[in-house]
Formats: sequence, structure tokens, C-alpha cells
Amino acid sequence: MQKRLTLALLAVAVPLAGCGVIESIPGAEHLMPREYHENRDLIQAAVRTQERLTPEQAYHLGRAVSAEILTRYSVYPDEQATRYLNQVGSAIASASDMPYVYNGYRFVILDSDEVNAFAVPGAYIFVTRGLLQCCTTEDELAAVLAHEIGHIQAQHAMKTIESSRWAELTGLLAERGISEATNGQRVGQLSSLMSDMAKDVSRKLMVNGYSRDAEKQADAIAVTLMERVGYDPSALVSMLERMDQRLPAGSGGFGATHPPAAQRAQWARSSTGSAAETPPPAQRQQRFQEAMAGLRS
Amino acid sequence: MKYVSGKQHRRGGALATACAMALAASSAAWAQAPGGETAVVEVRRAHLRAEPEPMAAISGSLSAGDTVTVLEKRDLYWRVSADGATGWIPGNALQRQSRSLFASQGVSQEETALAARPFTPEVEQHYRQAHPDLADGYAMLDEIDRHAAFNVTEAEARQFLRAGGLMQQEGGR
Repeated sequence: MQKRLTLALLAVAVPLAGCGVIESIPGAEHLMPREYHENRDLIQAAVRTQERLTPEQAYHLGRAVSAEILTRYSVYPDEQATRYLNQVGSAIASASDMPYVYNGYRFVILDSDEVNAFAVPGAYIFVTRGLLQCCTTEDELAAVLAHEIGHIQAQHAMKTIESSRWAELTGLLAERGISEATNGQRVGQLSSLMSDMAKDVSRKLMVNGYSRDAEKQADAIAVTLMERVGYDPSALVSMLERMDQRLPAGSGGFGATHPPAAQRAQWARSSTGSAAETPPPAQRQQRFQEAMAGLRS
Repeated sequence: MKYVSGKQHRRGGALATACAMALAASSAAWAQAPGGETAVVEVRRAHLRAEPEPMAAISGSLSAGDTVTVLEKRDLYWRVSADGATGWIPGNALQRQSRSLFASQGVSQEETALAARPFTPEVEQHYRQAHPDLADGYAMLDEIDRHAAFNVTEAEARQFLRAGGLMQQEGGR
């Protein structure tokens, strides 16, 4: 009973404390249950643990999630398209608010007709062949990648990890000095916790999808990054409209894990303030077509 | 939830106290005066820049584990010095250095460094052995990390942008 109550409390209190909600509302602390006050230090420590996870930690966690994605999808072995995808993606990532991740950004094409993409901590970004085929210009491809980089920059995947995991991690870290556990036991405990965290992220990415607010934020970041680099931000609108046409109602993949593309296009249009996409310069369009030429449908 | 059950449950008070000590110790270390604060580079490679802007001119290079002295903070960017070089770098590539997160418990600095980094290559190795079904996925990730097609240098990205008629000026804002 105590365990269930503490779990429920942590699930609510850690995100609230992390955002400073409880402290910012006068009198809110007095309304919290007794268990909150008894575990107040632990809740705050869990928040700090979440915030202090280093880029290397995100990298190892992201590899656990990515390995699972790669058991469900194969990598599309087109070196030219892959190289080009990484050039566009790395150029945008360099202009982001998170230009440095532990081991650099990696953009991977998944051999699937699905229209889908996954931004994994670390930062591995997976884009399906089906989604690439929705893009008709480099600017539209840039919009897809900038949206995914937006998820990395806002650390959306890390925020999908259940609050109780952070509390458990805090417990394992704080116990280091008082526990009798051997190094082998500790590695086993941390490996088990990494498994739980990776499952939280995988489930969110591949089954449930992010919240509408998270998608909206990633679109907003995408518009900012495209403007910084010089891509036409209205390409986000045209790409989303084409996706809306290609995604039949009730389809799986991206359609199941993202808000309707038409609705996102409407948000994006209000952000960009421009209705029509400007045709890209000839040399940019030529390299796009050359790189994507080998992408079979 | 391991820490609220059985024997560990009885240690709940000690654990909460340990967490509180950790918070107090780290807060004290983080409150050092500007100029006295140091930070550690937490990414494998990063550049120092002449201006607090993405892709501004490079004034130095850093590697994981390098210690820098923090001179100034301006929003996302911190101005730091290291080995005679000075420049701006996003603060999210650094970790402010705590003298000892769990110092009050007599835990060594080395152990503190490990404690703040739970997911190590050793933990990943254990995870891989415990999940043989992920072996092919991990092998592919290892190849992705190594293969040139996935590794684009900043110089190459800059040249790519120029060739596409993009981001003509230094800096991105």
C-alpha cells in the first residue's frame, strides 16, 4: 500500500517539482499529502538526477532504444542517400541550440514504406524510406529533419521516462556510499534500470507518440532552425500537406503516433506566415534529385 | 520500486537524508563565484567559438573530460577558457563541476564521478549480454557510429550549406 502510494506520488510530484509548479503556487505545498513532505528531499533529488544526466548517459540509453528499433526495421543500404541525409541533418543540427551531443548526430534511413521517423536520445534520428518519398525538395527534407532535431533539442524522449525510474536511479546513486552491493550487482541493477527506461522511450516513440504540445514545439523549433540556416520554412507546410494526402485515416506508424498532418500544417502555416513554398535554387534541387534517385518506391 | 520495499524500505530515512546531503553539497559547489567555477566537457568533441552563436568562427577545440574555467554566461552560451584558448560554447555540452556530490558521506571524488554517470560502457555491455535478441541491432549501431556516411564534419556541413546557397554568413542568428 505504502509502495503504491509512493509510486503514485512520485509520478505526479517529480514532473511538477521539475517545472517548479509546486513552489510557484502560493500555498500549494500545504495542500500536498503527508507523503510528499516525508519524501520531499527524494523528489527534489530525483528531479536533479533527471536534469544532471549527461550527454554520454543519453547516448548509452539511446543506443538501447535504437537497438530495439533496428530489430524491427532494417537499415536502407543506400550510401549516397545516407550521406546526403547526414549532410542536410548535420548542417541543421550545427545551427541548433544543441549542436553538440556525445557522439554527434546520426541520421539513418529505415527500409520501410511506412511514413515515420524517430528521434532517439543520443542522438540517432531514424527516417523511413516512405517518409523521404513524401519530400519533393531539399527544403522539405530539411523540415523533416529539423522537426526531429527539435525533439532532441527539447529532450522530449527523456521526458517520457516514468518519474519512478528517476527516483529509483536517485536511490541507486545515493545508496552508493551506504550499500553493500558489489560492483557486479550494481552494474546489474543499472542495466535493469536502463532496460526499463529504454522501454518507456520505445513505447512512446513506436506506439503512443508524443503529446500534441511536444509535436507543436518540435514544429516551432523546426521553423526557427530552417530560418537560421536559410531554408524556406513554408516547406514544412507543403511537406505536411503531402503527408496528409499519403496517410490514409487510421493508418499505423506516423499517423498513429502524431497529430493529424493537416492540423500540424495549420499550426506551421500560422508560424511561418507564408502560404506558398518558394522554389529552391537549381543547384539545391539538382543535388536533392541526384541523392534521392536511388530510393526505390 | 526497490527502495521502498523490504529491507531497503527501512533505509528510506537514510536514503532521503543522503539525497538531501547530495543536494546541499552540490548546491554549495555550484554557488562558487564567477571565475572560480569550473566545468567538464561532456561530449566527445566540441569547438570554442569567437561569438556566442552557432557556427561562428572557431577559436579552439575541446574533447570529453577537458576541464574549462567558466568566465561568463549569456543565455545558452558560456564563455570559457581552457589551455590558453578562450571562447563560447553551449552550456549543455558541459557539466558544472561539483567538488564532491556525496562528500558529506566520505565518498571519494572518483566515486562521485562514477555515481553521477550511471550508464557506462560496462553497463551497456551487461545490457547487451542480457538481451541477445538485440545483438544484430547493436552490431548495426556500431557500424553506424564508424561508417563515414554518417560522419559529417563541420567543415563539410559548412561547405554543403554554401553550395546550396544557404547560410552565407558566419554564425546562424
